[in-house]
Amino acid sequence: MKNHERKVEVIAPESPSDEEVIGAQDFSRLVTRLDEAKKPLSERRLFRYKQRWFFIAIVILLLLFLILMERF
Amino acid sequence: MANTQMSKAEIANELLQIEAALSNPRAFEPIYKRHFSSVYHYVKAATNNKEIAADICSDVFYAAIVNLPKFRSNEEGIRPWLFGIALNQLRMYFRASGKVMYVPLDDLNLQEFSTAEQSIDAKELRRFIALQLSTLNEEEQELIQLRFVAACSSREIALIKNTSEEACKMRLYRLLERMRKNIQPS
Repeated sequence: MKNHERKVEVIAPESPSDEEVIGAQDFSRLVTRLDEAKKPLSERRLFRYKQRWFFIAIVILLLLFLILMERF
Repeated sequence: MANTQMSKAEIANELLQIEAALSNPRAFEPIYKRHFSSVYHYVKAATNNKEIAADICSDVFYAAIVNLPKFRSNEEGIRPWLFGIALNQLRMYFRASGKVMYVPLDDLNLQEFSTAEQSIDAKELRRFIALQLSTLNEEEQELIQLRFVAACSSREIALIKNTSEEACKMRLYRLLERMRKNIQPS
């Protein structure tokens, strides 16, 4: 196996508190991630498509607003 | 680290939960809750960063659920398999980020790296071990991490590394011997 030249530091152990461990747990996030991955590709594509047009519309409105400001 | 040994009945029950999780990922929750702490301890120890550890743990359990059909039942339960996934995730993280890998060693574990004749204080010994660890390859570093940081048994390490328990014991023994010889106070 290749050695990737990891930098190693040996330290005194510091155990994370129970609150920290509980805070890091998030099973619902995992389930959401799994559900998202299960969604058909077309649904995700549609979301990206809508997102792109929403962004373009905002840019056009901003440009129009700037042009109008310049005129009047 | 808390005692992670599970009884045969608990492992049998866990296998039933895995069966259920194959058709319904939500049924994985009891397994997630049971093993999250030990996986988090291990990942946090290596990264020394709670946000990164939480993200890596999330990836570990996500990969575990997605790849659950590939899990082969054994007498140690799912724990070694989860640690194997954690090991891969950490390997990718360190390769991509180039960050320092931390190896927390308590006084009891420090003794494993020095002979009785050597009188080195803990701070100095940690420095020597870090120097030695940097010269090892990834697999050897991981063996030390699994044995002394994750407190995995030789049987568990053998399952993680897909080798025999005897080969694993011998590898660890030789590795420690080599490190002990090279740890010399100046």
